Amino acid sequence: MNEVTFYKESHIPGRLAEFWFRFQKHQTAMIGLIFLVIIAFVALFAGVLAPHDPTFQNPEALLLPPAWDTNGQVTYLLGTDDLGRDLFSRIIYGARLSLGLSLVVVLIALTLGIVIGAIAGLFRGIVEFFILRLMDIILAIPSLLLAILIVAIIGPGLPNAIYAVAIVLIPHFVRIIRASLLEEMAKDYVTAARLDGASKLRLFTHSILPNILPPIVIQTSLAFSLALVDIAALGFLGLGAQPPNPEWGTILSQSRDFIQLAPWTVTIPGIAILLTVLSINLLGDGLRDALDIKGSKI
Amino acid sequence: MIKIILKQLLFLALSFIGITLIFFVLTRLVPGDPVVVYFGNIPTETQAYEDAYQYLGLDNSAIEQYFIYVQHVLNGELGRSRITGNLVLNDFLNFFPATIELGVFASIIALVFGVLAGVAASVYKNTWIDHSVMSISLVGYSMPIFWWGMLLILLCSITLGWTPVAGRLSYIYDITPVSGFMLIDTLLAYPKYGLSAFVNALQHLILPSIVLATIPLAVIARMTRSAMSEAFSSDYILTAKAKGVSSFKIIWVHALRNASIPLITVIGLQSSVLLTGAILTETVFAWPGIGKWMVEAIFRRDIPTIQGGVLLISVVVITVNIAVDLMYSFLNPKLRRPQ
Repeated sequence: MNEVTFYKESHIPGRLAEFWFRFQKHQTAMIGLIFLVIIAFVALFAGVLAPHDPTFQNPEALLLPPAWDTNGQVTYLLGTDDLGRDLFSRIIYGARLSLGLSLVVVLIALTLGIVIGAIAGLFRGIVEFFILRLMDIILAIPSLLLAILIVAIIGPGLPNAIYAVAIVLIPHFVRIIRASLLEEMAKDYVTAARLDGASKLRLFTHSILPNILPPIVIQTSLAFSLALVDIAALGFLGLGAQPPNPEWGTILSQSRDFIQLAPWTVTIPGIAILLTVLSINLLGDGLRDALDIKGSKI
Repeated sequence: MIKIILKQLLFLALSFIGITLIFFVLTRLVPGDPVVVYFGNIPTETQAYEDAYQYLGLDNSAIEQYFIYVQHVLNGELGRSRITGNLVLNDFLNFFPATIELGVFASIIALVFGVLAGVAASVYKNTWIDHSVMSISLVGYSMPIFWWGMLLILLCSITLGWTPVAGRLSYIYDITPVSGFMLIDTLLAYPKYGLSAFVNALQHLILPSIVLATIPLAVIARMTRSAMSEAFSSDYILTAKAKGVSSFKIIWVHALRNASIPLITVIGLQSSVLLTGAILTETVFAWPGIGKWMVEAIFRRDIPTIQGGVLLISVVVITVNIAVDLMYSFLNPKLRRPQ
């Protein structure tokens, strides 16, 4: 008897590798990701990529159409606005503002959401009751209206718009984190950690948080697209970024009066907003599929 | 059922306390003398100033001031606009019908086309119909509607000349407001203008409604698709098929009825989305509703109008949400338990 048994070498991929394997099969999500990476790159290197200063006004080139128009000039690729500022450079610098600001907003909301959600889930009782009711109330007021109210009270401007949008986004995070935290708390591995004498803080950071990351990641992508649209909307209403800041919503509100005379000053910033939000949503769809969360599809 | 209603009423009361508290604190954070904030520039040490001071109860502690404020709200005293001098409540009642008209029309568009698209996508799952419904709805869901509105104005109004650019009615018509709803009021003016005023109002309404309906439509289409797909994979559909029920009846009666339960929740949540969208849509189309009224109040720093307006809008949203919740538990037989 000479029997040889072969064992195939099996490689079990890590969580991240498995996630990536599933994510990269999602074609539309990859398109979204690639587009976002490009925008992020453009935003980071705006100073090098932009052909003109975004606030420089050229009186020789007012309301110049884009380069593909017969009246356009190649130096002003996407044309100029009513003050002779290069639209292409303004969009590039605007990417920095719009994308960067939404990132800041989401980070603020995420951090506060995790802290408040963890407090509600870990301490329960009266604390939880008050936190949840407060979040319900914030959710009941239409998001933009609440942001408008906050901006109206503390005054228009970029920092205030950021606080306002962040406050609006917090309740979604708190709810998701509390719900998934309670679900995990009932599981045995958490009981084991508790029996080992882990404090509540350690229990949360070491045992629970790594296991509730998928819903948090998905909520973050949702919040990101909401933040981008809301900041642009506030800019459009004149309550967010103030001119001459090249924030996309602000550019739109300034070019409203020239919609008939210079339609490109309206269409181009809008396309920038739409494509960015769309790619974030595509990315979110892919994340949801790759992380396999059921029932969270819009 | 009574328990559910009581629970919702408790939530309503709690929300009211919370919202008034938030607004009270926020408005007291406005820099400056509260009397000036609420009543405008009244010279100090006059009787008027003294009256205003007493009215706000500024002698008392902050907690008592809050209760005085709540009492005013409950009495319907939301103050007067600092700019126009109109009662905030009257202004709200004047502007609200325009927003309701827009919102209802947009909801009908979103509901009809959203459900149709969602059903089509679920029936023809994984075909080009499904793929195009899903991609178009994702674009619609991502749409910055203020830009979408400007784009449609550019296309339909300026280039093609199909619809008017802004407002609710052409100035050549002199309509006396009866109900506040332009479609009804223009019909009432039938002896005077015939149908032309009604058609004109409809032309003004169509573009803003499409813009406002875009996001809810996308959400409803996607929701309908997933709810219908779930219904189609259920056993009762298989049973119905086995019994030889026509596919028309299976889709529109058996599957849609069960799919409508999660749909109601989503549609209810859209009231908040609609009001948010109304602010932007009304700004773009110069639609004289509460959204435009609020934005103008902000630019004029008209604090009583902002405070009262947002309070009333929140109450409307919360009431709608509660109504939807009640309807949900009333319509969903799964939640009804045998006594």
